[in-house]
Amino acid sequence: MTATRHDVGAEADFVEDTLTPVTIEGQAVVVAKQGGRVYAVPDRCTHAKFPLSDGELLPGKIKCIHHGATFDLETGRATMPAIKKLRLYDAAVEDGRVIITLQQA
Amino acid sequence: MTDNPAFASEALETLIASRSEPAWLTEERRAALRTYDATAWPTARDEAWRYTDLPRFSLDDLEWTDGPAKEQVSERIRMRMTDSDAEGIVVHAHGRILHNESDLREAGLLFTDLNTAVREHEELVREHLYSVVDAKAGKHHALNAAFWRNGTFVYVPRGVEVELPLGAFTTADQGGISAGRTLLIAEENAKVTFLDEYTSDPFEQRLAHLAATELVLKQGAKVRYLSLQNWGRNVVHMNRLKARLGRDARLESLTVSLGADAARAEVESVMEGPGSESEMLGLYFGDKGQHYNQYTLQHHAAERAFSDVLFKGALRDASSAVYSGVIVVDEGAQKTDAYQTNRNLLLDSESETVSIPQLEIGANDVACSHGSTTGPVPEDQRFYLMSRGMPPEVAEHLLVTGFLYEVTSRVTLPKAAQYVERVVQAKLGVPGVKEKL
Amino acid sequence: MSDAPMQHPDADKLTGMQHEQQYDFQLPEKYFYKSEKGLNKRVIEKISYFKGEPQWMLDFRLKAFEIAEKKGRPKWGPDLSALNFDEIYFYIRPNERQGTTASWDEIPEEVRETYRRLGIPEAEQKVLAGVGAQYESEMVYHNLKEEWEKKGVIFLDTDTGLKEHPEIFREHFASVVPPEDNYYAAINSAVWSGGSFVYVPAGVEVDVPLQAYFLLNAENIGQFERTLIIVEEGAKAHYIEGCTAPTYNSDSFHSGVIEIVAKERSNVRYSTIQNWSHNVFNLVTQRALVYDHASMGWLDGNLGSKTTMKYPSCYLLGDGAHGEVLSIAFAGTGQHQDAGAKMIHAAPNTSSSVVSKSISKGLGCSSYRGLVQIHEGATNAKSNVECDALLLDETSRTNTYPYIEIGEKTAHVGHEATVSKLNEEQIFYMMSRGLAEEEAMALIVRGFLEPVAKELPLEYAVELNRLIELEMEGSVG
Repeated sequence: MTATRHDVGAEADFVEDTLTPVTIEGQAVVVAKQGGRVYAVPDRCTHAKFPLSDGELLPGKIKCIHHGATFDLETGRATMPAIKKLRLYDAAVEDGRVIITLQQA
Repeated sequence: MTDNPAFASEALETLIASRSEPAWLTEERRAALRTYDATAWPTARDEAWRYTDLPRFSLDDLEWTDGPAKEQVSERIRMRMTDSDAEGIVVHAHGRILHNESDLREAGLLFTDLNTAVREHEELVREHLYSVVDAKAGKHHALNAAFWRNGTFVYVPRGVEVELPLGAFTTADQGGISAGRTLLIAEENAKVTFLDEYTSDPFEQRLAHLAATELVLKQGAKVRYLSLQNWGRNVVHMNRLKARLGRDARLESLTVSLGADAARAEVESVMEGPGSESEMLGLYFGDKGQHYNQYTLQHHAAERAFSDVLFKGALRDASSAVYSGVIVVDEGAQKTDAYQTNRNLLLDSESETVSIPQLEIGANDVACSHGSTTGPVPEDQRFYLMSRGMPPEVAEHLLVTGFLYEVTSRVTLPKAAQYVERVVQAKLGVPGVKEKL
Repeated sequence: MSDAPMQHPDADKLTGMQHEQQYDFQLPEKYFYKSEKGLNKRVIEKISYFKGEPQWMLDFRLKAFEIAEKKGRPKWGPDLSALNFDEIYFYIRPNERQGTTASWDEIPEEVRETYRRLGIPEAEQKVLAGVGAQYESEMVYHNLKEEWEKKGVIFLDTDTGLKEHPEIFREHFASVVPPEDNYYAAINSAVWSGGSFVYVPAGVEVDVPLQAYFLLNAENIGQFERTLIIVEEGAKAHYIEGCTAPTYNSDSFHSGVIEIVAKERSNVRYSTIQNWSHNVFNLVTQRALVYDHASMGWLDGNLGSKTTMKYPSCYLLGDGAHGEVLSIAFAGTGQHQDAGAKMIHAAPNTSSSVVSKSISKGLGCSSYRGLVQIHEGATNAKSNVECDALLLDETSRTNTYPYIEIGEKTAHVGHEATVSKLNEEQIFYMMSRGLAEEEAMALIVRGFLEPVAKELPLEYAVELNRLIELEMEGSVG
C-alpha cells in the first residue's frame, strides 16, 4: 500500500458548507468544507453508486440527494437506504492548500 | 465518453476512399455512422451497464489500427494453430490476413476473409451482412458496422456437411481500436463447426476490439460455434454473437471468456422457425480485477422451439461478473421449452457477481424455467479432499475445475476443451501450467 | 391441500356474488373537508393545518414535495400514464370523530354498513384485539384491549401517534424510508394521512393480530397511509391489513409507506391482502429493518387494483437476522401486478426466503421483480427465491426480473423460477371423477397457491377461495 498526496487547490477555492467534486488520478472524489475543516470522500454513494456531489452538505454529514442516504463526516456511518460505511480520505489544509491523501493498493 | 475524431464522418470517408467497395456497402457504412451519431453513449443508468465501470470500456483517444506491427504470425499463434481442432484457419490482425489455409475442397463451401467475399461473392454478402447484427444494436455495434476493416465469411451450401471444423484467429500487437465481423451462413440442412479465437501476445498499449458475429441458420441447418476469448490484459473486448434460426435448425454455441481486462459478451438466439433449437453454453473465469459483462437472449418467436442456456463462472482476486439473461416468449409461441441456468463460484469476498435472470412470457403453453445460484466452493467437498491429504490449494483447483466441468464436458471439440481447462488451471495457479498455452 | 374450501360462518352471505357486483356500490358522500384537485403547496399546508401538526412535520411535508418535483416519476415498471395527479383529491376528512373508540357500537352506522356489505362480520371484531378502521383518509374507529394498554402496547392511527408519542415517533419516522428514497415515497411523505402507529415494548408478545381496515369511497381520492411499526427487543407482533374499495369510473390512487423496525430477537409479521377495485393504482413502499436474531415476515396478497407496484423489503442488519416474503398475485384482464421482494444481507449469518406465486388470466400480466443483495462481510448468508407463474390463457403474460448481487464468497444464494399452464391431463382426470371443469381448474389453482395461501389469516383464505371460484366461473367455454 502506498499513500499519495494530492494538492487539489487553494482552500479559498472551496466554499464553506458546500460539496465540490474533484478528480484525482481518474478517481472521482468530493471535498466538503465545514466549520473550518475539510473532508474528502469518494464521490460515490455506497447505496446505488450515484454521485454524492449532487447532494447536500448538512451539519456533520453529507446527504445523497438520489435516495436520501446520509453519511457522517467523522465516521462515515450511513443511514438508510445506504448500509455500507463511506470511506474517509485523509484531508487537511496545509499552507492554504487542500491536500488529500489516497491509499493505492 | 467524448467525441473521438476517429469516429467522425471525415474519418469514415477516408476509410471508404481507401477501399474499393460496392456502392451498397459504402451506403451501409454511412447509414451506420448516422445511426451511431444519433445514438447516445451508454451511461451507468442503462440497465446493461449498471454494474460495470464504464470508463474501462472508454474509446476516447483511440485510433483505428490499419495493420499489425508485425506481418508474420507469432510463435504463440503458430502453436495455437497447431493445437486447434480447426482444420481450415484464417488469422486476422488489425484487419490484415496473416495466414490463410482456408482453401478447402468441400463442394461449394466458401470460407474466406470478408473483404475477399465482398469482391468475389458480393450477392451473398449483400443479402446477409447486417441481417443479424446491425447498427441499431447499439452504439458500439453502429461503430463496428461503419468502420469494420475485415472479417471472416463462411457459406455452406444446401445439404453440405463440412466434417472438419473451420476456424479464425483474431490477434493483435498494437494499441488502438479495431473492429471485425464474422458472417456465417448455413443453407438448408447444411452442417458446419466454427471456432472464433481471440488471443494475443503481451503488449503494452491499450486496445479495444469490437466484434460482431452473425450466424444465419436456414431450415434444418446444424451449426456448432465456439467463441474463445483469451486476449492479453491490455485489451477490452466487445462482441455480439447472434443467430437467427429457421425451422428445425439447431445451434450449439459456447462462449468462453478468460482474457482481456474487461469484456462484454452478448449471446443471442432468435428462434424464428418452429422446432428450432439453441443450446448456449458459457464459461468464464475472472481473476486479478477482470470484469465480465455478459448478456444472453433466448427469443422464442415461433412455436415448439427449444433453448437452453448454461453459463458458469468462477471469480477471484477482486474480479467481477455480471450475467443478465433474458428469455422472451412471443404471443403465439406455444409449446416453447426454454431453460436458463447461471452458476457462480466466488473464490474470495473481494470478487463480486451480479446475476439477473429474466423471463418475459407472452404465451401460456410453455415450459420455462431459470435458475441462478452463487456460492463458495462447497465446504464438505473441500474437506473430503483435504482429509485425503491434499493441500488446500490443490483441493480448490480440483473443485473449481470440477465446477466448470459441467460446461467443459459439453465441448465436443477435444483440443478446445483441453485448452480451456489448461487456461483455467494456469489462472488457478496450478504449478507447471503456463497461462498462455 | 384440502379438497373443500374453508367454511366461513358467513359463507352463505358471500356465495354467488360476483366480485364486481358485490363492490359496485357507493355510499353517499358526506365530507367535512375535501381538498381541491391536484397536488400543490396549498393542499399540503391544509393537510397539516387540519391535523394540527407540529412545525417540523409541515416542514418535512413541504421538503418532501420539493423532492418529488425534482425527482419526477420513475420510468421503469408498468405503464402508469393514466395516473393523472390533476384529477385526484389528495385529502378528504370525513365528518367523524377521530381517536380511540370504546366499542364497535360507537362506529357510525353507515361505516358499519359498508363493512357489512363487504362481508366483514361483527363477530370477527370480538375475537380480535384491536381494530383500527380507516375511512376516507382518517382513522374513524379504534379499539384496543385493556390488557395491552397496560403492557404499554401502543396501537393508534398515525396522526394521534405523532401527537401523543412525539419522541418515539420522531426517532423512527422516515428513518427506514426517507422521502428521497423514491418518487412515490416522496409523494406519500408530503401528503400522508392515516395509517397505523404501533409500538410494542421489549419482551411483550401480542398474541392476537393487530388489524386495520382501509376504505376508499369518494371518486378520485388518493389514499396515502403512513404506517410505522416499532417492535422492541424480544417482542412479538402480527399486523394485518386488508383493504378494499368500491368500483367507480375514474382512476384512484393508493400510495402507502410502511416502515417497520424489528429490534433484536423480535418477531414481526405483516400480512396484507389487497383487493382494490380494478381502477386503483396501488404503489406502495414497504420496508423493514431487521436486527440481531430478529425475524421479519411479509405476507403480501395482490388480487385487485388496476396496477400494483410493491416490493416488500427486509434489510437484514444484525447477526442472524431473518427475512421472509410470501407473495400471491392474481392478474386478470386489465390488471398488471408488478410485485416481488427485496432482501439486503448486511450482517453475518443472515437468511432470507422469498416464495412468490402468481397467476395471470385473460389479458392480465403478473410480474415478479426482486433484489437479493449480499454485501461483503455478510458471511454465511443464505438466500432462496422461488417464483412460480401460472398462465391460464393464451393471452396471459408473466415476467420475472430478479436481481442478484453478491459480494460475499461464503454466501449461498439460490433462485428458481418456473412458468407453466394448467395441466390438461389433470383437469381431464378430475372431470372423469365427476368434477365440473371449473371446479377442477379451481382445485389446481388452489393447489398452486397452497404454500403461500396456508399462511394467510383465516378471513383472507376465505376471500381468496371465493375469488378463485369466481374467476374460474366463466373461464370455460
